[in-house]
Amino acid sequence: MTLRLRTEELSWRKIDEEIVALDGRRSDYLAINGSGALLWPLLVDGATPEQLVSALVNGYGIDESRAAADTAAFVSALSDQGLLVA
Amino acid sequence: MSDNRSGIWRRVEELVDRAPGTAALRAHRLHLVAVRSWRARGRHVPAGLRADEHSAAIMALAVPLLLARARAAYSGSLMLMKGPEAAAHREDPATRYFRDLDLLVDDPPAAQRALVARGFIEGGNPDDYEDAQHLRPLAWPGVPLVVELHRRPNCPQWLMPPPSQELFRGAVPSRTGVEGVLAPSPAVHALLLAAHSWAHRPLARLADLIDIVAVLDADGRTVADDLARQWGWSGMWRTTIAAADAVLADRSCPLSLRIWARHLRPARESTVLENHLLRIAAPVWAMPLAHAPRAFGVAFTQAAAKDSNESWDDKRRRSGKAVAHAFMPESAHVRTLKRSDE
Repeated sequence: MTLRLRTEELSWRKIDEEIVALDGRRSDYLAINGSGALLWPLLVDGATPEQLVSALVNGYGIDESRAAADTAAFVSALSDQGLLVA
Repeated sequence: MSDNRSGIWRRVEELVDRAPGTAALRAHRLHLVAVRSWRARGRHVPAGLRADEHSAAIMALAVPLLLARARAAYSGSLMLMKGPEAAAHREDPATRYFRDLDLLVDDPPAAQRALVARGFIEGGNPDDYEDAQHLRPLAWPGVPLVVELHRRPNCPQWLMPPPSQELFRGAVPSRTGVEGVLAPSPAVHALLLAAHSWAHRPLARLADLIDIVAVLDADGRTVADDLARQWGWSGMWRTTIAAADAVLADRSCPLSLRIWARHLRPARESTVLENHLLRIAAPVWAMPLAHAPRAFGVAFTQAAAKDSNESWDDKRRRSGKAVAHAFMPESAHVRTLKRSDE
């Protein structure tokens, strides 16, 4: 399963280590830092949950179970806000 | 000068390094250039400037959203001036600060009605915009960037703005990439940017000169010279472009920069005295001798006028402080005024 951020009415910028995004449908601004900022560009291109977990393990040197939990929480938050496409 | 674009951006970085502090960088609207430049060189970026960068990104993200909504709402001509359109000509568009979208439209009342019908909300006091160059600002709920629909481009009272139809005739697609949104041709845009800065504070900010040079393409200089002559803007334009050449291309220093815009080359803030001087001296400097008295009259009246929301007593107090602070940087003077108001 490939997860991908929607492209319509969603714009974003990377500032230093942070992602600032505007969800045009809800006129909602998001500030994403830490592990979310690492995962965001991967979700722009499209990535599987395994690839996201692997990116966190490599980026932060954390164990796989914690990376999987962080990834699931982040993906769930994005999904709840309607930012992911199927 | 416009052939050597990378040279201009190197020069801008030198000006950033020359500025005596963050207040001067903000005064010249170079603070976002400083953030990018310092970060690239591993220098510490103060928290205040990081916050400015964050705010600027929030504004920039809203540009395509608001332009697309305005475009969908109104079927007439929409021409984006200054702000993000000028930013798009920079090596790094994120270094250009803006807080509104200035759109010249062919039928301002109809366009305003169309945007309001689509969900934009009118702000400001209607009386303040009856004769202004733009109609009441329009906001989209939740988005801090505002839209201003222009009846005419902003220019000093002592110059005549060109007819909007003439500006639309030579328009080009906007560099923001939003389909159906126009931008002025490079030469026209450079002239409009110059006129806008002269309507506020002539030769006050380095960023204004950078914008002008950035939008001019290789052929733009000659076209702008010709248009300035046609519109009766030659003095203002010559003064502006000579200042830009001196500051950004190391050309000879014109008298204006030696007399009333001395703060530009050292990239420092203007003092209170210099600020008043440039508002009054600049129009006289830029107009043909026959028109200079009228230009002086307009500039002096503007400088001596009280703000719409202050009493004459307040104005007298403010003027007294300005005299006492004549050699103080403008931002320090403003901070003092705010403290005394609290």
